[in-house]
Amino acid sequence: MSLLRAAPANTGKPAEEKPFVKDFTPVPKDLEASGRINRKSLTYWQGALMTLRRNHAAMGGLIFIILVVLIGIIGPILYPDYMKTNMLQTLQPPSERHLLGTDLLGRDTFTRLLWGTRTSLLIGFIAETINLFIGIIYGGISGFAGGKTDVIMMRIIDVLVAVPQMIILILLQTVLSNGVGTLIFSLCITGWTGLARMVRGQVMALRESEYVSAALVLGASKWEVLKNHLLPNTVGPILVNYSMSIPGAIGAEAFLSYIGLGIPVPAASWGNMLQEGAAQFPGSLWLFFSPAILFGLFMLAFNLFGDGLRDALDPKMRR
Amino acid sequence: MKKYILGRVILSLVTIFLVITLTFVLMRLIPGTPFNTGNTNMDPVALAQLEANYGLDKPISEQFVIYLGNLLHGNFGTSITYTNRSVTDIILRAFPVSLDLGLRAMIFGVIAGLILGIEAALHHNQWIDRLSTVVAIIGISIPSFVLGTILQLVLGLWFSGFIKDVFQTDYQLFPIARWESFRYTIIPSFVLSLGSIASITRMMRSSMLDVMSQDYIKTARSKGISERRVVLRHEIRNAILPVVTIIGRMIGTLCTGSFVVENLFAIPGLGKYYVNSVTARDYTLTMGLTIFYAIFIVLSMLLVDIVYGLIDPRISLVGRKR
Repeated sequence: MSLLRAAPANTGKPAEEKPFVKDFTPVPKDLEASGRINRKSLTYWQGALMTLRRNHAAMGGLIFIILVVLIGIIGPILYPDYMKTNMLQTLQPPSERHLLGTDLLGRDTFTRLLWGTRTSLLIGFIAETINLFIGIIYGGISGFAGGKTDVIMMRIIDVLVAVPQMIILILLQTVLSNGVGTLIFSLCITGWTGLARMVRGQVMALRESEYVSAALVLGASKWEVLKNHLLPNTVGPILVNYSMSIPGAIGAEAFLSYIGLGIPVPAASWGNMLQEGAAQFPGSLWLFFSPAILFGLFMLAFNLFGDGLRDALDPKMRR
Repeated sequence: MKKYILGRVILSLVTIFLVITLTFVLMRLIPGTPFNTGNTNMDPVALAQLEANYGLDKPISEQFVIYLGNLLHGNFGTSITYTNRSVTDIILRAFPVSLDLGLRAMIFGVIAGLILGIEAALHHNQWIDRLSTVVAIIGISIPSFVLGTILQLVLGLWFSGFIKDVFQTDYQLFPIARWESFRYTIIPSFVLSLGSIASITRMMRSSMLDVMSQDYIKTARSKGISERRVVLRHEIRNAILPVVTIIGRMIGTLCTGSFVVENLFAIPGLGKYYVNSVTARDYTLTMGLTIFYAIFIVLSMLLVDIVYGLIDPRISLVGRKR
C-alpha cells in the first residue's frame, strides 16, 4: 500500500528539472571521422611485444640473460686456460692479474667462472630444448589420438610425475659416470611431462572448440587448422613454460654439483664452483660469492623475464 | 569419489613398484658386485662364498623376488659402509630427525606464505604487496644452499663473533650446526622453508586476487555482510583451495631440500645419509633409501590428494566423469 501512495509523488519532480533539448547544439555529423580507428590494429605478437617492452623488469632480465649467454659463448674463447694450476699463487685475493682471485690450486677464478657459465648454460638450454620437443610431440600425439591411447599416455605421465626428479638425478649420477651428458640425460627423463600435459590440454580444448569445427566445415584442411589455430594458441604457453624451466635445470645442476654429485672438478660449473667456494669458508670469500652473485642474478633475471613473458602473452593481462 | 580414490591408490602402487624395479635394475647394471669391482685380487673361492652369502649368485629375477619379499617385511637391505647396520636401522634412527625438520619447515612455510599472500592481495599494489613479490622472487631465485651458506657466514661467524667481543660469552643465539635444542632448529628450518614460502605466497596472492574480483564477493558485500566475514568466509576460503594442491608437491621439494640443508648444517637426518651413501658408493644404502623416499613421497602425495578430494566438492565430479 505504501508503495502505491508514494509512486505519484516521485514521478512529478524529475520531469520539471529535465533540461530542454534546445540547450544543446548538436555536433555536425562527420561520418568519415567516426568511422576512422585511431589506434593501429595490432596482431597478437605485436601486442605481446609491446607489453613486454613496456615491462622494465622483464626487459632488464632479458638484457642480462643475453649478456650472460654472450659471456658464456665468447668468454671461454678469450680465456682458454681454466685448468691451469699455479701452486705459487693459491687462494690469492682479487687483484689486477687475477680479477676474481685464485682458488686452492691457483686456478684463476674469473676464467673458471666464464667456463662455468658455459657449462651451466649448456646444460640448461640443451636439456630443456630436448624436453621442449619431447613434450610437444608427446602431448600432441596424446591430444590428437584421444581415447584409449590418450588415457594410457596420460597414466604414464602420472606415474613419472610422482617420482621426484631429484631422486632420478641422484640415482643416475650414481649408476652412470658423472658429467654433462649424464646430467642432461637425467634431466630429460621426467622434465618434459609438464609441457606434454599442457600441450595435450590445448589440443583437446581445440578439438572440441566450435571455431575449429566451423573452420573444418568451411573446408579448411587439417594443416590449416594446425597452422592458424593450434600454433598461435599454444606457442605462448609453450614459450613461457620453456623460459621458466631453464632456470630449473640450471638450479638442478648447481644443487647436484654442490652436494658433490654433478660435474666433477677439473671442469667448471656454477654448482661445483659454489661447492669449492663454500669449502674454503670463512676464508677466501670471493671463491663463493663470485659464482653465487652471478648465479643468483641470472636466476632472478630469468624469473623476471619469464613473469613478463607470461603477462605479455596472456591476452587477458593486456592493457 | 570412491572410484577417484581407488584410481589414485592403484596409480600410487604402480609408481612405487616401478621405482623399485627401476632402482633394482639400475643397481644391477653397475658392473661387478659390491665385493668384486673388477680390480681387486680377491680369492675367487672367498668371493663366491661372500656372494652366495648375500644371495648374489642367484639369477637376477630370483634376487628381485627375494628383494621384494624383504621390502614387504620392512627389510631394506644391509649397508656396505656402515658395517652391521641395516638400512632399516638407519631409516628408523635418521628419519624422525628429517621428519622433524621437514614438518617445522612446512608449518612455518605454509603459515608465512599464506599470511604474506593474503596480506599482499588485500593491500594490492601497496608496500606489503611489493614486499611479497620481492620475497617470492628471491625465494625462487636464490637456492637454499646459497642462502644457507650466507646465513651460516653472517650469523654463525660474524654475528657470534660480535657477541663474543661485546658480551665475552660463547653463547650462540642461532647455532649453525647440529640438531639439539629448539635454537638449533631455527635457521635450518627457515632455510628449508624459503622455497615453500615463495611458491605459496605467489600462488595465494594470485588466487586471492582472482577470487576478490568474482561476482559472488560483490553479492556477499551487497548483502551487508561485515568486511571481516567477507574476507574470512568468502575470499580466503575459496582462494585457499588451489593452494592446498601444492602442499602435496611441497613434500617432495622438502625432501630434496633436506638433502642439502642437512649436509650444510650437520643434521643427522636421512638426507645426509642419502647423499653420503651416493658419494661413498654404498649401493645398497642408496637403493634402500631411494625406495624409501619414493614410497614416502608417493604415499604422502596420495594422502594429500585424498584429503583434497574430500574438501573440494569439484574433485568428486571429475572422478565421476571418469
